[in-house]
Amino acid sequence: MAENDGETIVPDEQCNLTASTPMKSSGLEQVESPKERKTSMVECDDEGNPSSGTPDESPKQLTPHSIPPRRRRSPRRPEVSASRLPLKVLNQIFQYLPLKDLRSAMLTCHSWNNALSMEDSDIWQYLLGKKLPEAAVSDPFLLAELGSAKKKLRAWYFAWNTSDISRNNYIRTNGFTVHRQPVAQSTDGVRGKRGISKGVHAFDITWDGPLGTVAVVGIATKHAALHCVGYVALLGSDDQSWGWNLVDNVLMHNGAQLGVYPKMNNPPKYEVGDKIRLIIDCDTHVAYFERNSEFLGIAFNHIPPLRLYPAVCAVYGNTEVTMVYVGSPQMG
Amino acid sequence: MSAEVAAVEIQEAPVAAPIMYKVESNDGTVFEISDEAVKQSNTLSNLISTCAPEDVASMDPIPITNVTGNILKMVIEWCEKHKGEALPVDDDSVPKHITVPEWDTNFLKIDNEVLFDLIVACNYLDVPGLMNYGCKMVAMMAIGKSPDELRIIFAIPTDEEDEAAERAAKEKAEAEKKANAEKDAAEPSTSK
Repeated sequence: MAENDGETIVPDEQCNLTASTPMKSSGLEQVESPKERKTSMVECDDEGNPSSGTPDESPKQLTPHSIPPRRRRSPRRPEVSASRLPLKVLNQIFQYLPLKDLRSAMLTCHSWNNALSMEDSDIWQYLLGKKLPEAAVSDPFLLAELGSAKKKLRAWYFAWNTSDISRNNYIRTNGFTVHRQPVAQSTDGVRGKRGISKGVHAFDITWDGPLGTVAVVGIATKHAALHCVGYVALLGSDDQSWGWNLVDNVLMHNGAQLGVYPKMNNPPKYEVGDKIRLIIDCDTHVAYFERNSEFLGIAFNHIPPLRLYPAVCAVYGNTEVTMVYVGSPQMG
Repeated sequence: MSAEVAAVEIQEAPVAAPIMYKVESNDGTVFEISDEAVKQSNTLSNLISTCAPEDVASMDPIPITNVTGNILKMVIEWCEKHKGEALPVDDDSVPKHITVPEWDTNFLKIDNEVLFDLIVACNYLDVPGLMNYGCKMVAMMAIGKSPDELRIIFAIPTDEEDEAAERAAKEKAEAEKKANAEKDAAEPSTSK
């Protein structure tokens, strides 16, 4: 009863748990396809240039120019070759390449990888200036923790998905903050642009504005619903999503409550504006949270090997949630 | 009548006689480049900016110690072709976009190794126009290719090939050392 005092509208007792996502399946598949290709780029970044990242070679014609024969060259002769071009020259060549080709260039040889690993070089500054909205670049706090242009560009590719979102949510012009409109008797969610299936990934999530009766952060497959009628902890209500309701600190999965988190007596309530870090370890199939850099314990384990997206669901009108991808968290 | 003829002669003089500067490559070949063409290279322009025109004829050639003769010849040929043109100004498109004219496309249809030498020479001589075209040509070879394809196109050895080459070089050095040791061992027995 006390929880309802802050609500202007009393929620119905009946809830429609079978509400379907407003997205069309064909639309989802279209959105999914480019993500598949881009995911390997970030995985390579996280894993430090793994050999398994090499794609298959296609039989198509390689170049309109004649290909010089692969002559063995003594490693001691300092001849100019593509792999020994000066850094300034490499940067000029890479400025003509789109992002996908920059990934191929990073995997070609060490010197090219070194040139493109300088995360504040002109190439990444250019791409950052063109890809990110002005509202994100000019916000001094939004991406403050990301130290390089390349990391900020990467965060953009993981931000909230403008085409995979409940109809009552919209994404602000900075591209990283979702805003829930004041609609009665509705639970509304959003997914990130890109899912993850390998490696360890961290997302910084900040809830601005009141929580209401439901404020869930967690992970979801692409099949999890993002909308339903009523005020429901939608994230975690089925086997496609896992959620942590910040209002009562309860973990949810497959419609079942998994207990209070952090697992202690009277865990502290979420303070609006605190930074929550969601960490998904796909290799050991666990997910957990940190709050203001403090580890809170394992939240979910035995997560199936699916492609998982960061997600939130909200019920309070005009509340906002910001999510910034930070890559692999620093351990220890 | 004679005054008119004299005026015409005076007017024609500057057009007929461009100042020619001499540059020397690292293999001793001397080339000439006109004062208009020199402006395409910021490095050369800075070198000659303090030279009085009347002293040019008696000057020694400007030594360019890290560019070979054939590459320097190509750079000068390109500069002569584009003399009088403004230096390119970078737009801020991403990826960078530039259109390579037909003459320059044909000019740059050369072996990849020569193209890379040319680009490095442009980097040193600071010829931004040819630098842009050369880098664009290399980038066009790279667009849409996988890493394996890039290694084939640009003759970049993989780590395994590098290790194999180093191992072969090491074995060769050891074999030479062994042969020398045997030779040294043979000589004392002969002297005995």
